Amino acid sequence: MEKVLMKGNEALCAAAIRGGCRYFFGYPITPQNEIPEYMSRELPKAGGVFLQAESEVAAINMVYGAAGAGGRVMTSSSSPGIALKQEGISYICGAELPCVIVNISRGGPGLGGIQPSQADYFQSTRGGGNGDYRLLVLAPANIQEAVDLMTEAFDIADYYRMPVMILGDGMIGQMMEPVVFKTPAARELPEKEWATTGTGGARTPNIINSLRLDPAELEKLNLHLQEKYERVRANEVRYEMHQTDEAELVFVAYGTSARIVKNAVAVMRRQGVKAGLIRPISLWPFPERAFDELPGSVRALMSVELSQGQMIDDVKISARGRWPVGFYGRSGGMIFTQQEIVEAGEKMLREVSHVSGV
Amino acid sequence: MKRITIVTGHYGSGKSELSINLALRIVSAERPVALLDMDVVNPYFRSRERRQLLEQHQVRVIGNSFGKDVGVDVPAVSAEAYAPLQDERTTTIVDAGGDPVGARVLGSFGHVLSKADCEVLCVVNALRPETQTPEQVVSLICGIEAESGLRMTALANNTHMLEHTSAAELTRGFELCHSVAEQLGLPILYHGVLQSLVAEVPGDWPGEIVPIAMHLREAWMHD
Repeated sequence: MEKVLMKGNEALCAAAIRGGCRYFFGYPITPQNEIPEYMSRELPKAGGVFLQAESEVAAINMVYGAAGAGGRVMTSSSSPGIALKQEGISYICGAELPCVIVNISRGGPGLGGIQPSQADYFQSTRGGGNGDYRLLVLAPANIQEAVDLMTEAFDIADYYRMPVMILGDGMIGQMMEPVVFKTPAARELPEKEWATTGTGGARTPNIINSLRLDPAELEKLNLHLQEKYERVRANEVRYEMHQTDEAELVFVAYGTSARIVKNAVAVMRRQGVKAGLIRPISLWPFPERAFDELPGSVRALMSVELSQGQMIDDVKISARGRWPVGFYGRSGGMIFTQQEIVEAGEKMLREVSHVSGV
Repeated sequence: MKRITIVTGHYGSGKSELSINLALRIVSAERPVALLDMDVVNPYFRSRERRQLLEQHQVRVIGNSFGKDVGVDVPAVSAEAYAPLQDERTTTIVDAGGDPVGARVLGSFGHVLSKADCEVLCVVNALRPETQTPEQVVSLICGIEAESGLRMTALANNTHMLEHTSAAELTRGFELCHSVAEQLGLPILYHGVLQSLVAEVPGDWPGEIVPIAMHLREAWMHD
């Protein structure tokens, strides 16, 4: 397919349908409304089903049902709507069901506002639901990457039998960019022998359930989940190293923040300041190994987020005390300029020099 | 130029950017200019977000009735909208929301617009997936007319791939608009062309070239 100009939200939908999505359940909320709008129009044309549920809670439980029956299913929402879905997400993980969840996030906490934000990092990677579960969280930084990740997301979900979350801030949902739709490398996917598709009287019924009253059974499920999450950690880490060679200061940023930081890095490099960027694409599993690839020239890290500082926890875990970790962020829907990042970075470098007496 | 220019089209076709550029282009000492942002479907990238720039150039900007240009997503056009629409002296650009659904709000101003000297523009970007063929554009125009109660009077070729636009893509947009114009008997009134590409526009295209500065794109988006 040739290059077209698309808005993030609609591009995500077109990619989802290409990726095999045939069921969508959701409820309107800004700034992701173009997703249900597009799906209501286009999914039926692809032989799929669009249903606007009576609430986010209903929508995520419909996802549970459709996924349990073996369907390729997704839901989308924005921050407070995703908060409402947390119980369902935990159940889906407990029942080991594949699905795709899109969060086009906005400022919080609570109802917050409708402008772009990255304050759902904890919600996405730590989970608001109960129990030892994980979501595979992918955070695109432009519309082309959003399309590529979305097209692949259903395969990844089916492969591991777990939800994949596409986390984009409101800017990724609303901005327009050129995109080309590509066909991702096919994964060998196992048959969904566990799905409730009707026994035909030929086998014992499959049961989709997250209730395990026998503690030994429940522990067994948890150990099995952990084994699966280890495979995800081993195989699904994604990140980009940008200008980290000989860098003295390395920013860590994802999504829209990473776009702005890249511009700041270019400005700093032009001014002779050796700055670089680690851009996590998978937020869980977090790219800890990227930090092991950093050169000896690095003197400080700085987490840059459209929040008051959430990913910084993972940056500190990954730094393992090897470098001081600074932070710069804006929140509530305010977006930093590249100049703010440049100044924050230079300030941190001065402070590091002062401490070490350089 | 007619006193009121209503800018409609598919969403994402570049209506707001064209509206801002048109408004800044027609600023003069003789007549007041107003930009009436009637977009109630898009939450971001609305022309009223550039109020400061427009007001610096003496363009009156009217958005929603809450007085907030950012962060409010409600279908509430300010009653102030009547002022430039009814004031015979004010040249007014009306930036409508995208698609037939966004144009619906124009219907509630029908009693005023039907008495005024109005240009109703359909902005076309041939690189948007849903407005690539003449049939798609004609169908869009029929939808906008049905929802707004207005008759389209002209086309604006605004074919672009943001800062990545090529001259060949401009030509493709012109050919699409030309075909729709022939079919519907409408003139092509404007070509929205990136400032850097203006020199590459053939001299024989009917209509006015509006050099576009991308006011709604943030600097960091150009990577």
